[in-house]
Amino acid sequence: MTHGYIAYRALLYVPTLFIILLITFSLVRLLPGDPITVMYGELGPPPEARRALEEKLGLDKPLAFQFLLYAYRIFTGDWGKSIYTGEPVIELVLRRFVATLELTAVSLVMASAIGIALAYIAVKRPNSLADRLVGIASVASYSIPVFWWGLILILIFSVNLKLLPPGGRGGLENLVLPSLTLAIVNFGLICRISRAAMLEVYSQDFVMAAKARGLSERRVILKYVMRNAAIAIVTLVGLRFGILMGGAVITETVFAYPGVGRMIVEGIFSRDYPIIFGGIVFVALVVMTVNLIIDLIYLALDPRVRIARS
Amino acid sequence: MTSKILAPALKSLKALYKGPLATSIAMTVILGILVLALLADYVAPYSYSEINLWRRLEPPTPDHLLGTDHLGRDILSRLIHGTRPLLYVVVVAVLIAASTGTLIGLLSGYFGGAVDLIVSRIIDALMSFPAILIALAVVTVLGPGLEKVVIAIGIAEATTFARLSRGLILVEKEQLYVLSARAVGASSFRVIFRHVLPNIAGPLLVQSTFAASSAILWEAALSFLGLGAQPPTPSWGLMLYEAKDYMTLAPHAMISPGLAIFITVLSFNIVGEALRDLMDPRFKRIVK
Repeated sequence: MTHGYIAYRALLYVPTLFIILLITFSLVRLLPGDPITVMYGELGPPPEARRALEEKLGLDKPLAFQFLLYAYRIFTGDWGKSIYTGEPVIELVLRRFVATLELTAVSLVMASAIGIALAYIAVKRPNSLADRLVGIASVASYSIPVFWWGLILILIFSVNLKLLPPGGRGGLENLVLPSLTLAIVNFGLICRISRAAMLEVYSQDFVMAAKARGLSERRVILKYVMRNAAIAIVTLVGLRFGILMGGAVITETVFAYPGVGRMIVEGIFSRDYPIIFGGIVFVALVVMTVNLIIDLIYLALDPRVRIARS
Repeated sequence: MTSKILAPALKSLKALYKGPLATSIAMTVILGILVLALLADYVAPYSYSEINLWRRLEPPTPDHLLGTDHLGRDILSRLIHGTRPLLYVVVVAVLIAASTGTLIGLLSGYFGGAVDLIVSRIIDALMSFPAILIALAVVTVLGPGLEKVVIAIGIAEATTFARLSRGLILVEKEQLYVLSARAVGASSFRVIFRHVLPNIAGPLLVQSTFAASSAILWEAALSFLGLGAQPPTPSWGLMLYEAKDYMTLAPHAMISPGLAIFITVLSFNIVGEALRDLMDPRFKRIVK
């Protein structure tokens, strides 16, 4: 039963994948200006050179054929080459992704630490002043324009204090400001989710029983509430991975950080089709895969869900 | 129908205003923005587009309370006039998102079947894209500009409304009132729009408030990337984009537009959350 359900959940992602490919393919094909004009300017190359180039880039085939070819190539790992540098897109994307992963992972850890710690404070005394302050801090967190916050940090720590570099990638010092930017912008959501999840557990009978046995509030929250809320927290945070990645696109641009997001933005400005294709498809695939994994982990960890569904 | 929705809406607005201090302040901020947008021509001390190259990048003075930008324009006046593109973005983007998203979600959820399966897959797929990527792609296809940004944000936000309204109608269509409406021969169209829609207006309204705050953030982000509003529009995001090159010389030009965006988005979020708590008493029950 359960295996059938796991297979069903996984199978649901196949059409999603197809639609992702279809959307990226058609969106980028709708862009004004073809890549050859972009490469050679308004006048363009002589007709025979243009034809040879079109053939080389596959631009002379019918659209449906181009799409099938595109889908086939995505699955076989042949993601084309950058129109400008000639570098294979898959290699470029993977290299850039390492940078993005580094950034998102560090900021996610920071954001979770802040968010869960604040949620703990809030849950200890619901509706108290502390709870309300935590609530305001979380709303403030996801109301901050991420680019502005990044610039403010640059202004303070790079321009005035001259402590940290304003951008680039290399050492740990390059990672501090961008990840701090993302952590501050994201902790609010995690805090809200954790607070709600913990309160939900808090109202259940086994927590009441633990309290009745005379355990301290701290112990009840840490040992009973947090443990049981953890699954929900991980799931909800995981399902919002796409939002984290979205913030990363802008943060990477502010800090000239060589991640996937900045690569896509650069690709859009230069109309480097394979780069835009590759970047957007890659991010969507990553988000989709994370969703699938979280879906399955949730299923494996929480027997209630497993039994209810099968 | 209008009075049926409007009267309770006014009543809940009053209830909200008498709520916590943060909510009253947030509502006052939003009201203030509306008033400023209406009276911008009378309130702003200077023109938002008049260039004065002799007075570039001046720090705040009694003459120019928030200083001047890289072209010598008065920043305060630009911020005040900026409430107009701001409201334009909020109203149009949320209208596009709420109407298309809700329509798709309601039809798909009500009729179910193969169409619902396909629509759900498409929503799932769209939700795998971070909204900024959808917006970036749409803006690049349509070209930069405030009108295009609004469409991009509307499309990116429509998925949330589609998913929400689909979920809501799935619950509502099992209710007795839907059954009785159908029993007396009401058409599907009538059931969906006259019976179900008013019953799920609350959650949709709450979602609209949150959509408004993200629309403001996305417009600012896209303008900050140079893809949104074009000069000399006094869009707050564009002001940030223009000020960032002079950040070390004149930090004041960058700080105030960002702060304005932050306060506005914060206000919309606070009102949205208060509205949700008002409509969903379940949350308070959990606390007690």
